[in-house]
Formats: sequence, structure tokens, C-alpha cells
Amino acid sequence: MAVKRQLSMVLDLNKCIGCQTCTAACKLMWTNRNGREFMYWNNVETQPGKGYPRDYQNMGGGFDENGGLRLGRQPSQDDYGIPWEYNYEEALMTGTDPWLRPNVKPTWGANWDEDEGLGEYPNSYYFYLPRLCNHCANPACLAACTRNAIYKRQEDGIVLVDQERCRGYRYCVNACPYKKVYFNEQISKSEKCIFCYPRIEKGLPTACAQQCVGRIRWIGYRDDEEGPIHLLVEKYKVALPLHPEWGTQPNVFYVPPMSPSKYGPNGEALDESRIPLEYLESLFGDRVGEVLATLGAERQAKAEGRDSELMDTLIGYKHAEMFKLS
Amino acid sequence: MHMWKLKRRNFLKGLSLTTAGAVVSGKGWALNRLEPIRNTLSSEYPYRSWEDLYRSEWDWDHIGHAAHCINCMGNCAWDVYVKDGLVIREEQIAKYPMVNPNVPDANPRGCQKGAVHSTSMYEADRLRHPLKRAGERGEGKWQRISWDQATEEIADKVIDIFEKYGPGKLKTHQGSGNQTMVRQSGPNRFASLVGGIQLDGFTVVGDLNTGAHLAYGNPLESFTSDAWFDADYIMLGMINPNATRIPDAHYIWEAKYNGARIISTAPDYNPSSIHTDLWMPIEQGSDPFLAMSFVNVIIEEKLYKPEFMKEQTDLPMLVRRDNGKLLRESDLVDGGSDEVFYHWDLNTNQAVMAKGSMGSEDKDLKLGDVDPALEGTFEVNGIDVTTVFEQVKKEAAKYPPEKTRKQTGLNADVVRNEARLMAKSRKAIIMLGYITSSYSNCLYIGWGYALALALTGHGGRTGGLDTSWVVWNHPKWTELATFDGKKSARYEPGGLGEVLRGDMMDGIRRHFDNKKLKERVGFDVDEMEEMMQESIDEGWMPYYGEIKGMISIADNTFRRNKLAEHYRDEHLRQASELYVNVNVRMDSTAEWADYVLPAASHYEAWDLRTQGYHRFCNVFTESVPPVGESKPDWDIMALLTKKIQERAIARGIGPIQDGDVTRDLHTIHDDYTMNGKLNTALDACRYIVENSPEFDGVTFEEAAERGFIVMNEHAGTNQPLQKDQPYNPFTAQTDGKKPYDTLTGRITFYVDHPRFERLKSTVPTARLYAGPEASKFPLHFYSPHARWGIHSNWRSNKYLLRLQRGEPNIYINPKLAEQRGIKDGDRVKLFNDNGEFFAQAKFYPSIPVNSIMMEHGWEPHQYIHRKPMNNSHATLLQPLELVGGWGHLKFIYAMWNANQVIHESSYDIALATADEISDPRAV
Repeated sequence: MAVKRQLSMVLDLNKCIGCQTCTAACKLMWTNRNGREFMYWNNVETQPGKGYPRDYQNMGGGFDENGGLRLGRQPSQDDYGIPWEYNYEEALMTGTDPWLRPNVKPTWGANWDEDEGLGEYPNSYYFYLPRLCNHCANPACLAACTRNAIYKRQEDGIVLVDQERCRGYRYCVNACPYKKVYFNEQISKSEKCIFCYPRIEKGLPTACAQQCVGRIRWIGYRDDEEGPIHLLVEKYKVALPLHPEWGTQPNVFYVPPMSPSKYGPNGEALDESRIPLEYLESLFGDRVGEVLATLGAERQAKAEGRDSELMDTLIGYKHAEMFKLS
Repeated sequence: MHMWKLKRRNFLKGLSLTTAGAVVSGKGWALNRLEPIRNTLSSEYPYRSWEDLYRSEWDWDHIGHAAHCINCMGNCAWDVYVKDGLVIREEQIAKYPMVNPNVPDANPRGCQKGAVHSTSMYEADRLRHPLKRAGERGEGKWQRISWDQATEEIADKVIDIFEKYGPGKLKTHQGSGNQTMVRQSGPNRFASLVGGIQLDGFTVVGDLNTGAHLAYGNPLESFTSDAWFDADYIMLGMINPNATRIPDAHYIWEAKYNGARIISTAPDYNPSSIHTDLWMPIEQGSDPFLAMSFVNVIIEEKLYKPEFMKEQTDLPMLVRRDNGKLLRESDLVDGGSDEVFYHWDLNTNQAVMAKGSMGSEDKDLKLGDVDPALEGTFEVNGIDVTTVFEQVKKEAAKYPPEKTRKQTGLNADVVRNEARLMAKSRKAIIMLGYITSSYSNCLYIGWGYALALALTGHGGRTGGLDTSWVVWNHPKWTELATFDGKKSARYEPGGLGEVLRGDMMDGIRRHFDNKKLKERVGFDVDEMEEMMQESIDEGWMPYYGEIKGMISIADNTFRRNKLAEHYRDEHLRQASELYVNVNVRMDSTAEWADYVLPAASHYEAWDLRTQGYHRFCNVFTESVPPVGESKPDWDIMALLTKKIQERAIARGIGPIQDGDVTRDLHTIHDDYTMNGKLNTALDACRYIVENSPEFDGVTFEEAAERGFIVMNEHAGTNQPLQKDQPYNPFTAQTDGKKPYDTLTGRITFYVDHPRFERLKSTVPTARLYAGPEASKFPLHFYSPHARWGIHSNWRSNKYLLRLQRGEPNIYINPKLAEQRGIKDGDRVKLFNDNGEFFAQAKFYPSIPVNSIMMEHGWEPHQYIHRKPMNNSHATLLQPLELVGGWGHLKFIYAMWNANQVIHESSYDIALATADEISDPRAV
């Protein structure tokens, strides 16, 4: 590991309810001002879907098999969605506009394809994928920055864009395959999720994790063998990075989603999950099947009254204990 | 309004300061700082002083506490961060104590709407000053006036109405927007004093689980959400908790990890279905057929538990075979009670009076030596009798899953398997959300599932019906709100009052095909109207007729009512003398008022809230003073009563006789404030905390400091709320053998009321909903509760709208869209014989091809041409829900009366033409 210690987050997609409380929490914490209005440092997207920014998974970036930076492109404002405003005053207080409406025709937004997914009724499928900066071990943004303005903090591995040194070249925006670096036009600098380091420094979890009402997020240090990250990532190996093939070595991990059974032509329940395994593997790598089997077996253990350290951890009895910040 | 926004100039200034620091420290690269830096990946970065930039953004002056008081069962404790006198953000307190080490804690309750309320409270639609209409009603022209002028003019109008028309002509309905103790009790106390009309808050919006009341005698006795955790079978019957029970949903998915089987029944593969073990794609509105198929399988495969049935249900009660009536003491004994019933004792082979009924002196369900027969026919004093269970069996035999597939669309093996798993589970919970009550067959849904649960012994600790609400016991709050019961508001059945006063019958008649309607729901519109009238004439349901004035508080009545525009016109016509709206924002109801009085919002007034799915009372600490000139509802009513009293004295008005009581406008302020004791929201808040034993003697200061109170055993309404146990409903009955609040004292599956006989519903049975087959329009339509709002609250918040489509949208299957030439994002027209509305089409492959879904709650003023969905929605009333005079079936506020149902109407869809949606810049 290139840093002394590395903070990490695990998100359980089986508990994510798509409520966007994390998105709202992050928005008011950091991005409702100062040219950041269009940014969602934390977003939740429905998958399969185009996500946020629109179609980011096909924009390139990251590294090739040889460790070389792959070319990526910068999303357009339309790909992010324009943060439209409303005519509250004119429509509601002065009687001058006919009805309340956005000032631009909405054509895309951070949650535009909510609940859409794929498949045909009654075998359609979808799930929620919350995304923040992965605070990668091998950040493409950092590698691409020609001014060396992006760095990993040695004490916690948080990746930051030096807001003094940055001059807005946007190589980082192009290079990040997750599109989690944003260009702030108002100040001509790039900004991104800072893993709420001001909170972390005070011993508090990130706003997105602390405020997550689905209780899907664990935070801890990778090297803490007593912590939840180690248990989920290393010990039970049920948490996987998103798009490991992009080569950035994320420090954000996901417990992949189980799904209810599919129906046959006569409405009979098939012994087959409705989210195709290959699809999940295209997101989280080839260990998904193994993880789903582990989850099934451990759940069965609980149903039969046996102990399961894994299930107890995923249940997360005490919210405060989902975070181990020392 | 973003007062916290850093101005760019300041932002740059901040940067140049730190840059200057770099110069002083001798690094000559001040402007560009392009000195070579070593590996930024794996060595310490040398220039980290800039990091203070983000640290400085996380800053505040003080923290207050609040929940959100809107009609949401969430009720979550938040910290409110205040900087420079403005709320800048909120974050859950997340410090609720663990109730039991084996049950996950309740932290951090909240949702995305609560998380952005600090933006809504300063938005431009926020009401800041008293306003008086300066044009025609609804024209949008306002004059800012003083509180003094507003309350004086309103006071005189109120007195005028009493003088000209007598009492009972003022509707003072407080809507579901005020759910907190202080905010709710102010206007309710006012209504009690003036005898204002208050409709049932549940049934006005179709939220009352009538089947649960019918069965258990209490629709508001349910599980705290932590009691879901130890269930091993949970059916999300008609609920989508991931979207509508956001703070509580985690307990379901934690229960799943704890080994529970979770299934969902819904027409669409909804955001909760995605996490289940099985989603059953049920045909919309056919749920009673699924419930009855469960019952069928349970009986046919003998999966039932006789012990529970004998003690806890009326299934062993004796029924006369000659007339189908329950055998009553009055049948056998001269002058005997008609509320005492019998079961057949197998030990002594004779009919024995059943203890615990409403007419029984022995309030106990213990069977003792009696072993009641569940099956058979017997003779009692020459009267042929059988049991309720025999009647139930006969009806249930009609619903094998193979047969109900026609209605439900579900594979019979799937249904059989689920019935078996449910029957065999240790603790089964069937959750019925408020969407249940929005169907004309609501009663059948709750009743059928209650039967399936009772047959299989699921009650108390072993499960039961979850009705989405736990009502806690707060005598002091009730006294405050109802003026100690000394004088009463005119409580009125919700659905009935809205339909009649809103003159909805024509629109209802226009939409439904009478003959087909009867085939599907069991009655036609004429019969419905006749039975509504009968219920009024028989005195089963009160109705107070036309009004002359209206003071509307925290109620978006012109949005939520069906046939909305006509309803609004009719109310404005009747309320010709006065229409006052008390509100936090300019909603679609406030827009039509004569006077708008600005109310303080969640972070701006002292208050308390307990109702919800948990045992915590959240405390609102007035984190900031009310925005603008707004005031807490309690204070508004104090001010208004003060003026009424002054003006009544000045005008020489004395006591006004109103039935048994007098309406004393000349002392109304003294009465309202307890002679000056409770002048403000803070006074009332402190009074409730200090006088409510369920708050465990906490001091007001402690409560305010912590932001919540953990309630003690006194909070339980039906049984004590145990300190270390989640709350399961009806354990007083299952463990303590206390009778249910039903006619027979038992879970009820037989009703011999003439109307139940007339509609062939003496035992649980099944009816469909109206839908396309009962109209001329081909598409099913349903409008579930919103993920992105609590009804209309927060629907127009821009931060939330940016995470949606920015404007009202419908959900459509891409296949139907293709057939109709509609693309995702197109504006479409939904229409039927009552009107049309426009919305954006959003593709949703998880909905049946012949259905359209639209979340409810969009403000009429958010629709193109302000034509809302509800203009074209016709409602129905279920005549069974209007029955009275039968034990627990009588008008009881929030317990028993008819719902205004929501999902019965149907539509067709077309791409909107450019002309239809043309968007003039100005009116």
C-alpha cells in the first residue's frame, strides 16, 4: 500500500433502498453552493442504467492492462444535468406565471433513470448503486494530473485535489473512469468527494455514511483486522470493488445484490435470480457468484438458528459500531 | 436562498491569503506554485495548509433539535445546524438508545426530504407575512397586512357567521400536516371551542384500515418497526416501505439477514420488491382474492391452529341456521342482552355463554373448562345453530388458488407455497400500508389477511397485521386538544363529508358503468348513494351539511380531494363569508384563500412528536425564530381567540347555545389559554412534558437538551410498552386474555349487520376494485404514496426535483409507450370522462403493460395548465364502512368510517400535442 493507512467504505447493496438520503446529506454538506450545484459527490443510480453522469461507464479513463492511462472524455453539462431553478415567486406569490416549472426543459439529471433497469415484465430487474469517490490505491486522476495537484493523504489515503495548486486542466476529470472528479467552472478548479475529511479528523463518519438510514455503509481502515472492512472484504470476501478492470484499485467496496426469483412462462417461480449473474460480474468481477453463495449459506444458518458472524455484521446491530475510525 | 453560499470574491480572497502565507515562508512560486513535487501517491504531500478551505465550510454557531411534523409516520430526531441565524443543514441525532441487545437500534432515522428541509423553509413559496387577497379568489394577488388587522377582520367574520347562521357553519378542519402535539392541539382546541367541523383525518385521504378495525376493533394497534426484526415471515402485502417507510425499512432487510423470508405482492416490481425473496406480480386491486386463497389453502390443508381460534376469535361463536344471525342471549332469555353470544362446549355438550363480549360482565377471554367446538351443527332451545367457522369454511371453499388465478394473475403453486410458509412460520407479519385503504375493497383485504393470520395463530408475539401506525397513550395531549372533552368539535366521517360537501356524486356517476361496477365491487353508484343516505338517516354516521366559512389549517384540501376542481368550487361557493388558510407555504389550497396566515415550520417552534413506528418522543426546540412574521400554530390560535374575545365583548355577544353546550366567544381566549397559562407554543410544550407520565418524569430542560424522550410503559395504549422489548400488538389479548374492543370481544369474522347481509359479506370474502372494466377507459391507474414527498410536502423542493424529472411524471411500460408512439421524457395526456392532465412519461418496465402509475401529491400548480391528476379521479365510498349500530362498528374518529378511495378510476393515454401543452410566459 502506497499510504501509511487507508480509509475504506463498504456498501451493502442488499440494504440500499434508493432513498437518496446520502445524496441529500452530501448535497447540503458540500455541493449546494460555490459553483458545485451540478455536482453530486455522492450519487445513487439505478443499475442497469446510464447512471450519473450519463453513460459514464462508456467514457473511458482508468488504466489499461499494462498500467497505462486510458484515454477518457469529460462529460458535458447535459450529461450531468443542469441544476434547474423554479419560478416560485412568479407562479405562486405574484400571479404572473401560469404554473410552477423549471427554467430549462429537464432532459437529464443525477437520478433520471430511477427504477428503470432492464428486462420485461414480470422479469424486469434493477437495483441501487450509491457512488462516491473510490479513494483509489492507484487513482487515475492523480496519475493524470500534470501539475501534481492531486495527492493521497498518508494518514488515511483520502485523495484530494489541492484547491490552490489546481488550475483546472481537467485531465483528472477525463482520467477518472468513475467520473467522480468534477470541474467547477465558477472557480476553474476541479473538485471531488473529500471523504468528509473535516469530519473524519474529528472522529465522525462521512455525512453520507452517518446519515444513511438504510444502514448500508461501514467505514474503517483497511489494515484494522478488528474492523468491519477487514471482516467484509478480507475475511468473508463478500465486498467487491466496482469495475476492478479499470485498474484504479478502489477502496470502496460493494456487497453485490441478491434478487428474487424469476418467473417462467406459466407464472411459475424459477430457481433463478432475476438479475443475470453475468451482468453483475460485468460490474463487480468474477467473484460475484461466490459471494452470493456465501450470503445464501450464512442467511440459511441464521434461519436455522445457528450463529453467523457475517450476518450479524451485515445486520449492524449498533449504528455507531458500523464505523471504526481509529 | 443560500445565505451560506461563499461569495466567489471571498473564496478567492481566502485562497490568496494562504498563498501569501506561502510567499512569507520563502517559497518563491507564490502565483503558480509549480515547484516540482515528488510522488503524490506514496509520500507526504508538502502543501496541505489549503485543506482548511473545506474545514472552514463545516461550521456552525449552535445546534437545535427537531423532527418533521408533516403527515409522515417517520418522526425522526434531527440536529439542526444554525449559522448566522439561519439553518444551514440538518443531520440525524442518531443517538436513540438500544432497546434490546438482540435487536438493531433505530439510528439514524430520517430520509432525503428531512435532510433538505432547511432549504424548503427559506424557499420563495414560504409564507412570511399575513396576506389578504387583493383580487378575486385564486387570482394570485396579495396584500401584506399586519397580524392585528388580519386577526381582527377574521374575528369579526367568525362572529358574523355565528350571528347570521348560528353555530355549526364553520369548517375548521385541521389536516394531516400538523401531527405534533403542540401544533395539533392548538387548532383542535380552537375547533372544540367554536364547534367547528373536523373531518376524520384518516378517511379524508383514504388511510383507514377498516378491515383491521372490523377484525380487531382497533386499526391503530400495530408493531413498532423494531418488532419486525424477529419475524421469520414478512409479507409486504400492500406497502412499499423502501419508498414510503424510509427510516424503518432497514428492519425488514435486517430481518432478512436474520433468516426471515420476505415477500411482496404488488402490481409493479417496486423498490421494495427488489430486495425480497419473492415478488408476486398481483393484478391491481385483486388482493382480497389472494387473501382468501391463503385462507382456502390453510383450511383445505388443515394448517390452522384450533387453540388460538377457540380463544382469540369468534370462529366458535354460534350462528342461527334459520336467519344467519349470531345466537344472542336475547334469543334465549327474555330481556337478555343482544351483545352476549354463545359457543358450544364439547366437554359438556351444550351452548355456553362466551365471556368477554361487549355485553358480558366477565371481561376475560380465558376459556377455563370450556372447549368450544369449531365445527358442527347443534341445537339450542330448539334453534338450529352452527359455528362461524363453518360459515367461513363455506365461503373460503370458493377461493382455491387455481380459481383465483383469474383475478390475481398468480400461479396457483406459488400461492399455495406461500400460504404454507406463512402458516408454518413462527412469527408472520403481513404489512398493509395506507394504499390498502385507498381501494374500495380495503375492508376485504384487511379482513381476509386477518383471517389468514388468526387461523394460523399469528397474533401478539407471533405476528399479525401491521397497519402502519402505532398510537401511543397521551391523555394530557388529548385533554389539551379537546378542551378536556367539555366541548367538542363537530367530528365528521372523512370520506362521506368530502364526497357530500364536495358534491362529487355527478363525477362519480359520470365515470363508472353501474352494471359492471356492481359485478366488480359488489354495489353500484345508486346503491352506494342510497346507503350513504341510510347511514345518515339511521344516525350511524353524522354529516353537518353546508358551511358558510372555512378556516383551513395544515390541509392541502384542494389538492388531495378527488374531482378536485369541482370540489374546490363547491367549497368556495359555500364558504362565501370567509376562507382563512393557515399554512407554512403557498400551497394549492392557500392560493384560493381570503386570508393566509403564515405558520412557523418545523425548526421554528417548540413542539413534541411521538406518533410513528417507535417509542421515542422527539423534541422540537425552536432552533431559529419563525421565518419572517410567521408564528407557531398555537400562538396563531391564541392571537385569533384573543381578537374574537375582544370583538365579541365589544359587540355584546354572550353565550351562544349549541346543543348541550354554549359557544362562548366572549371568553374564548381565556378558555383557549387556560386563563393565560398557555399563551405560547413553548408554554404548551412544557405543560405536556411536565404532565405526561409516559415521559417518565423527564424535565423539560433535559428533554430539550437531548432532543428526544424515551417513553415508558405508560405509553402503551393496549398494553404496557415494555422497557426492553419491541412493541407487538394485542399481547394484552394473546398473553393477558383481555377481550378485544369488538362486539364479541374476539377477533371478528362474522358480522350479521343487515348491510353486511345485503352485500353478502357476513364473513371475509373477496371483491375486486372498479378499474378499467367498470369504466370506458382501458388503463389501470394507481397513485401510490410518494418517495419524493410526504403528500404535497417537499414536492416542489428544487433539490428533490433535481433528483426526479423536474416536473410531474407518470410511469409507463415501454411496450405500451411504443404502441402509443411515446418516448421516455415525452409529455403525455392522461384522460377520461372527468378530465385530463399532462405529465412527463418515464419508462418503467416493472409495471404491467396495461397500467399507468403516478406518485400522488404533486401540487396542482405544478401541472401544465394547473390541471391536476385529481380533477379526473372519481372516488367511491365502501357502504360497509358506513355501518353503525353494531358493537364496534359505529362512527369512531380515526377508527371506523368510510375512506375516500383513490385508485378506482381509469384512463387512456396519448402523446400531448404542442397546442395542448403550450406554455405562455405570463397569464
